Amino acid sequence: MSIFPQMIEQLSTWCLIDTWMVVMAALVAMACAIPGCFLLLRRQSLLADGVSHAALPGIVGAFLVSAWLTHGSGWNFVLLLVGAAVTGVVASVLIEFLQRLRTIHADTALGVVFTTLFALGLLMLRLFADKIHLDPSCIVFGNLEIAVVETWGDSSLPIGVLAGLVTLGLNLACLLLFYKELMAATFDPTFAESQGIPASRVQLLLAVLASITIVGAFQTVGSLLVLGMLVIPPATARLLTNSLPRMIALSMAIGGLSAVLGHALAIAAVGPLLDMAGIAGIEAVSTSGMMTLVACLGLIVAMLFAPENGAFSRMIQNFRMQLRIAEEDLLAVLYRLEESDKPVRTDQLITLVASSSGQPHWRVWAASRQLIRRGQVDGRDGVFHLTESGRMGGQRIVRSHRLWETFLAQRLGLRPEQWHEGASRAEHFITPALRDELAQELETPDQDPQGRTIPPER
Amino acid sequence: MSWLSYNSLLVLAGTTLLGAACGLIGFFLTLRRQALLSDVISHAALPGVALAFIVGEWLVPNGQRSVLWLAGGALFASAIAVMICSTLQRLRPLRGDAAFGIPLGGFLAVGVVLFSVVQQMPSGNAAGLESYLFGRAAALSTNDVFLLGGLAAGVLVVCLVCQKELLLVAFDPEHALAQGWPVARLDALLTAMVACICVLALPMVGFLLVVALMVTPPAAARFWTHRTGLMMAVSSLLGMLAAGAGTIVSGMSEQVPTGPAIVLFATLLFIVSAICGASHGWIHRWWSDRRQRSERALDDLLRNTYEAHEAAQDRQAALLPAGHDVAPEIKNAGVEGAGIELPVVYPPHLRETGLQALKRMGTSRGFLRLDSRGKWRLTTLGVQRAKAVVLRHRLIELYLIEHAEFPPDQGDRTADLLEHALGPHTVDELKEILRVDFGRGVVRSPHPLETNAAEAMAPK
Repeated sequence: MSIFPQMIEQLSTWCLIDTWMVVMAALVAMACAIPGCFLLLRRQSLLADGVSHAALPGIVGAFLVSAWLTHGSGWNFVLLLVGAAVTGVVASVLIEFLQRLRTIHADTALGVVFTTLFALGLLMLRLFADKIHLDPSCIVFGNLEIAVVETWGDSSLPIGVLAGLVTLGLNLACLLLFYKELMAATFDPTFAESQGIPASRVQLLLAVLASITIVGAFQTVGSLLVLGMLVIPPATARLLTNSLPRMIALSMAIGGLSAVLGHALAIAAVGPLLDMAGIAGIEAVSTSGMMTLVACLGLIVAMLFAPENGAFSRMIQNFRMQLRIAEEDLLAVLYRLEESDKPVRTDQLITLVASSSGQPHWRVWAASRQLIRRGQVDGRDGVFHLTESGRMGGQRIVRSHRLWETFLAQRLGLRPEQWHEGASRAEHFITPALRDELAQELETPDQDPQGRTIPPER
Repeated sequence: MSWLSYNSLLVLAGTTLLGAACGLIGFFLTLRRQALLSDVISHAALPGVALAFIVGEWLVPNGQRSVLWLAGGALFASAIAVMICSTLQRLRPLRGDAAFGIPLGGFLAVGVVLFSVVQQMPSGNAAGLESYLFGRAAALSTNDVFLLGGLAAGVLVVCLVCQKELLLVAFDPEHALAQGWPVARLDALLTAMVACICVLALPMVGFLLVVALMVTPPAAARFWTHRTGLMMAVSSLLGMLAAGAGTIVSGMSEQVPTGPAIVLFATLLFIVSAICGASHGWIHRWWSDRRQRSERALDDLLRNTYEAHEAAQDRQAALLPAGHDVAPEIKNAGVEGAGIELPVVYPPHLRETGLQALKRMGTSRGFLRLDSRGKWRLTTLGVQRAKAVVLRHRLIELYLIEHAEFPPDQGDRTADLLEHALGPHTVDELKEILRVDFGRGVVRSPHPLETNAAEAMAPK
């Protein structure tokens, strides 16, 4: 009721800081999309999970070194990137080493390595808490609200924006430079090996890219929460398209959009909603969490409505096929009735087809309307008659059915009670070419094993 | 020594029990190849705990939140996460890793949002929810410890009772299904127990590190034994040790958080296992590699000696005029063999240092002997062994030439590589297949022996 004015009021307080936060988050989300897409296609998304945990000691170590170098007066972004690259390499080398032992499974090796490195990072954080001012939950879950305040030198440009730009640039550069190698190693590792692109090198490149991206993002969305941005937008894009360049572009767009929407919802929507539910006094929730949540919602929408892989399009495809089968069943029954010259009333016919093929009554009815609309059946004066084109369709189905019965009986040696069932199912999937093959194989029979005429092809 | 107080000892007992339960359940989980399911479950627990807190606050403002209530919330969220996982697995483009990664990231995000809500609630900071993030065993109250420990013990008992069924499903789900076992229900039971244990271990090690207790001890146990029952025991023992040691260390120092301490101890145990493990450990592998190599060298020495004498005998027999016989020492080598000791003929390219070790090994097995003139000889036992080795080599060579259509010169070299890998059972099979005449105990070599016996028999 009063929620929309409240939301608009909240949004009207949008200021420069909000813009910077959104820019920061969007840059990070777009950078994540690039390694995320390749990891998803290689079915290695959990490597991102592993590296996102393993990045913690790298971050803490870099902070320690820069605190030691500058005597505790700030931190060095370059050192941070180096720390990230080092942990990425260490984590992936350790995982690969454990997998080579062959004593433990691949995912177990991943679990052992990343939990150890994460525990090490937490321990370092606690032990050197007096030397560096880092809050564990800030690193792990990010805090845009704090990150935006830290600016580069005297300018108003937040360091996080700079970090996002650098990681995005690095990712884009690697994408352009190694596009061919990455694509080959992802889709056809054997071919890649034969072209002199070593799989382990590409693996390492991806791990390092993911690691650098994660560390670039830790201020903004947190070193753990970045996992969502690495997996979810690429997964959404994958459901929407089958082409790699389009997938990368789409997931970058989805990532950027989630950042904008996520921040808007975090400051404007959650508070009023909770207020309505009786929990008052919530100002704004975590932007980093909300942007991942928005990406999740996007994924759910894609799962439902994606053109090829979505649940709805599958339902429609299924329904179309079932309708086609009902139509064909109807045509075949009408053809057989014409053979024996027994006209049946419309409603009786629909009941007959529904019960014999095990389809619901309404679907057979819908199929009959469809046939009338297409002019294959003439439904006047309460009795169905096949038109010429309908007769042709029915004849094809019956021909398929009887040819298949003959084949089952003669070539596969099935018992008589098995013939009809198998043929009723197969008749809908036998193409004209297959019918010709069958006829040739069976030496153009004119009767099926039950003595009924096999109609000629039309 | 504050950690020796009653409360600390109680906490220690609770954590070690949980560690043992984690190790045991984790063993089944890794066997089922679902190690990272525990990752999903524990990440999903975060929003569950926060949601339970918010709902509790909504129902009874400023009330006391019991550990059980929060654990219930975590369990609820975990169940949803597992369902999402199995739904995503059915979508072809997202099958595999992504189906785990999406709920991981998604639930984490929900958790972070909910936690930011909790922190703004009036009683949010008093909630002690921080310990769910990074684990703080010492913060548990006596009642909590009894509760968590009791539930962990319950899970342990269920696990031991259903041990046979769980193993069957873990090893061969198709077979189990064919045998009429309710595989889906047993899987659900395993997942439910994993979720229970994960949720119980949350306040102790924190949600991010529960995975380690589920994954690392079973992985370490694999280095110790092949036998399932023993591996189970080792896994839970290692879990117990890690949890106990971690709790003690973090109890002694304020600065060391419990979760990371436990995990790092688990990793330490893993490293120790990987090095010292009795069945796959690095030392064991190194040692058995070495033993195998010297065993091969000894076999080569025996074969070389035998073949040299055999060749010498053939040559002498060809040279001697009719009516004369070859020297008994040489004659007996190839034909009658038994009861005769042969002077050792060293294969070419044998290193001096390796030779000493080889002689020691041969002596201890009773194959070699130093005679009164200071020369090494094959004992009768050694000759027997040499015959077996030669027979094995020639059977393989014959098989390769006759059945695998190898050219004769390649047959010999390939047999060199294969002979050490084949067991006595395979040799028997080869005898069956080839149907050769064993009148002399050894078949003739398919290729001419080129050893220059006179030269080879010179003392080295």
